[in-house]
Amino acid sequence: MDATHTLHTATQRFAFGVKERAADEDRRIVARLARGDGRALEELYSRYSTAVFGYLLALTPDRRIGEEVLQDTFVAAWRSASGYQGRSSVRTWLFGIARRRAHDALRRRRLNVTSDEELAVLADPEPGPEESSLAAARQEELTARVSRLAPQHREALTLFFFHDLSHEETAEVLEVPLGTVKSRLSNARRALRKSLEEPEQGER
Amino acid sequence: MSSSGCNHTQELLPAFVNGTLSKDEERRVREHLTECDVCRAELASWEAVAGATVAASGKAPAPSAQAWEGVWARIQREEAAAGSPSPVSLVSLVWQLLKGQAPLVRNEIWVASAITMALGCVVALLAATPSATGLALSMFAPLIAAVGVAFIYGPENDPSLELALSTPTSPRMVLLSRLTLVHGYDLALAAAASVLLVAVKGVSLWPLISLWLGPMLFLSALALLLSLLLGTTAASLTAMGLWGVRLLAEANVGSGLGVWEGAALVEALWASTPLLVALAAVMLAATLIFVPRMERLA
Repeated sequence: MDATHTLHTATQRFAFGVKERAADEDRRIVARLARGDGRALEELYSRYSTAVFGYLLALTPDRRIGEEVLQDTFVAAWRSASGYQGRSSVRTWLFGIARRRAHDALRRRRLNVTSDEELAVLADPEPGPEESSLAAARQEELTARVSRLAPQHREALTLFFFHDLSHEETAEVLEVPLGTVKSRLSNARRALRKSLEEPEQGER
Repeated sequence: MSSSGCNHTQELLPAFVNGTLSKDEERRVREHLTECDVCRAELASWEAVAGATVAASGKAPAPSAQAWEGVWARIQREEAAAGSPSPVSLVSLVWQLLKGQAPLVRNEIWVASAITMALGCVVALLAATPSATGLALSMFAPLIAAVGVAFIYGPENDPSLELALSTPTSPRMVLLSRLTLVHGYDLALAAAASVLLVAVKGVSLWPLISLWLGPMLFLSALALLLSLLLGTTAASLTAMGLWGVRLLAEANVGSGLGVWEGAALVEALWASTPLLVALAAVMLAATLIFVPRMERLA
């Protein structure tokens, strides 16, 4: 247990250093972007298009809409780079732009983004004591269930656990208070647990 | 284990799993976990959620290659549609540039130009005939502008030029904004003098302006080009020499003595013709094109 922990800490420390350097490089790229450097946009795109696209697919399963919003996002980044203050990380900034663009696109198509109230209904009304059900579930089954969660739940989980944003960064991207991020993560977990009680749908 | 410790720990568990807790919080959570079965079960549950999320998100496909081309195409389309940056931002950009360069222009230029123009005005006011009034003004205005312009650029005139050139503002923009300032100032002085003469002497405005405008543009453009090629002193002297030849020709033609045969030709060349203005434009363009290169030669 101790050896694992030491390794875990060392890995995280190493990952932290790598992250810091990448964040510095990101800032330099956006500074060049603000000066109208087209190559900088290409670099930013090659660094983040896959991550942003993955996040967008959590919001809409439609690949075509996803790609359109992805383009919107980088066009908007190009236009607003001079307004980037460096207050948040470039990653958080980009995800924030992507989320707004996605909401605009979905609104235009009259596709509703699920509200928090609807999501609360989707989640188990009472937090169950049986946490082991998730830990005991088969990984593939759980993965399939995550893919079928409501967009807002999947969005929060993806930002937090896949892109490793902090609570604060997630709150910034989602434009909600810190407490809402925490409750949304808990609701997502409860919805996931509840979905395990339903019969498994045929895998496509 | 106190339940409040559990509540606090459970709130931190998601961030413990994704590694975004502070060192201190992380240590406390880890300590609590060693002695609390309930929280360890919670941790296992979050780790399962995190693992499934990573697996599900990791399956997301990459965007197609055309998506990137679409980004560029859209930017170019929008910029073409907009024509240029928005007028507001363009105006503020120009304003910033002029404001930044104004303190770097030698102060003497402003005072010397104004005094010389005032002198020209007095001479013109004292002139006996309307044509002599116009002549007096057209003799002063171009030379004032040309000598002023010869002083706007180059290490001898600007100790902070090196600093100015290390900023994102290109040498071309530095030169152009100073030229706008100084030449704009001289144009305004000459225009004000013309309006004053119209008011006092009753001459008509446009013929008066056309007497000095063409020569002013030409002589200034020449002085600017020469100041970059040969330095301020050589440029000023050349401009004065050329202007002296013109004064001589003018006196020659005016007196009707016909002492000098080329006089009429010189006079014709200096009239405000489209050719003179076009030559001025060509010289200005050449100057702007070669500024960065000249900078290296200096």
